[in-house]
Amino acid sequence: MTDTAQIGLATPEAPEPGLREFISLLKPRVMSLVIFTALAAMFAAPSGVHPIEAFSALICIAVGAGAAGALNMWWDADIDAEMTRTRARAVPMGMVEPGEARNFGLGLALLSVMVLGVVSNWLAAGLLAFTIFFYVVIYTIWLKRWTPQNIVIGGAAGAFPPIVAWAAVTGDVALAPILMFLIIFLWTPPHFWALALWRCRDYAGVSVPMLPVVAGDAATRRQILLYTILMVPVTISPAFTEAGGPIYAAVAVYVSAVFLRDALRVARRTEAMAEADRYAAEKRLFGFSIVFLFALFGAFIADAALRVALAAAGVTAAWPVWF
Amino acid sequence: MSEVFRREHALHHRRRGRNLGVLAGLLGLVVMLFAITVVKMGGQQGATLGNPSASQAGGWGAEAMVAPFRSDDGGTQ
Repeated sequence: MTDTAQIGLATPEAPEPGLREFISLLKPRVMSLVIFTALAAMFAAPSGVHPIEAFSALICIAVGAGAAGALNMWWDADIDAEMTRTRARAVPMGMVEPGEARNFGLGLALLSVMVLGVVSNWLAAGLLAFTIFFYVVIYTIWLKRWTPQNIVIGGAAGAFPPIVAWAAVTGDVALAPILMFLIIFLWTPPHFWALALWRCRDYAGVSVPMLPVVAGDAATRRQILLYTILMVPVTISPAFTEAGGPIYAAVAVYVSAVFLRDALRVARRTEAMAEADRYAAEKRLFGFSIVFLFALFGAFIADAALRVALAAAGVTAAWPVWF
Repeated sequence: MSEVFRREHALHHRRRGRNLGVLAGLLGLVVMLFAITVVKMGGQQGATLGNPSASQAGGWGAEAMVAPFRSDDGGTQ
C-alpha cells in the first residue's frame, strides 16, 4: 500500500499518531511521581550499586509504570471519553487506536520487566511485573468499576515503585520500603477523594463507583480524615529505620501536621459550605497532598546525602534506628 | 490537490517523529545495555549510589542504635 493510498484511508477520526501521542499514553505526570519515589528509595537503600545500574533500573521502573498507564488508557477509553478530566487523552480523542495503545503497553511492559531482570535482578523484575499486573488487571479491569474502594486498590499499585527500586539495588525487600509503600498507599485515598469531591459530577455520569457518588459527600469527608489519621504514624515511622534520619523526621512531623489540619478542615465542612467557596479547602488539601509526598521522599534523599557527607567527613552521628 | 499535499506532509511529519522516537529508544537501550555490561564486567569500582550507613558503617554510626537486621555485607547484587 502506498502512502497516498494510506492518506486516503486516514480519516479525521483516526489520524496517524505521532510521537507525542504515544508519549502521552505513558501518563508522564504519574510517571514523574513514580520516578521520584523510586529514586528516593534507591538513595535511601543500603546498596552501594554503581549509578549506571541504578539509573538503568530507574528507567525500567519508569517505562513499566508508563506501560501500565498505556494499558489503563486502552481499557478505560470508553469512560475516559465521558469525563472532562480525561476526554482529551489520545485514545478517546481518536489520535491512537485502542489496539495500538494495548500493543504499545504490552510491548513496553514486557521489555521493561525483561531488561530490569537483566540489569538488576529477577526479584525486582518480578515485583515490577506484579505491579503492572496489579494495576492493569486487578485495578483497571476488575475492581475499578466494581467497588467504591477502587482508589484504595489503585493506590496500592501506585505505591509499589519504592519497593521495586529498593529490590533493584539491594536484591532484597526490607521494612523501610514497605513503610514507603504504606505511606503512598494511605496517601492515595485522601489525595484522590479530595479531588473527587469537586469532580463528583464528572464521575457520576460514568460507570465508576467513586466514593462521593456512591456513599455521598459526608462519608467521603469522614474517610479522608480516617485515612489521614492512619497515615500520620506510618509517615513518621520511617524516620527510625535505616532509610530515615533527622531531616526526614522533621519534615515528616511538619507535613503530617499540615495534612492532618487540612483533612480535619475538609472533614468538618458540608457540601453546601464547600460549594459556597468553590471547594477551596478540598482544593487546598489536594494541592498540599502533592507537596506532602514530594517533601517526604525528598527528605529521604536529603538524609541519604547527609549520611554520605558525614561518612566522607569521618563524622559519627548518632540517630536512633529502631526498626 | 493542495489538500492532498497538505495531508501528506502532516502524515509524513508525524511518522518521521514516531520513527525518530523508536530510533532514540532503541539507541538508548543499546547504550544502556553496553554501559551495564561494562560496569558488571569491571566489578563494583568507583562511585556508588546508596545509603552508606549500613554498607560502610558511616552516617548514624552508633552501633548500639543500629537495627539488628542491618546488612554488613553492603547489600547484595
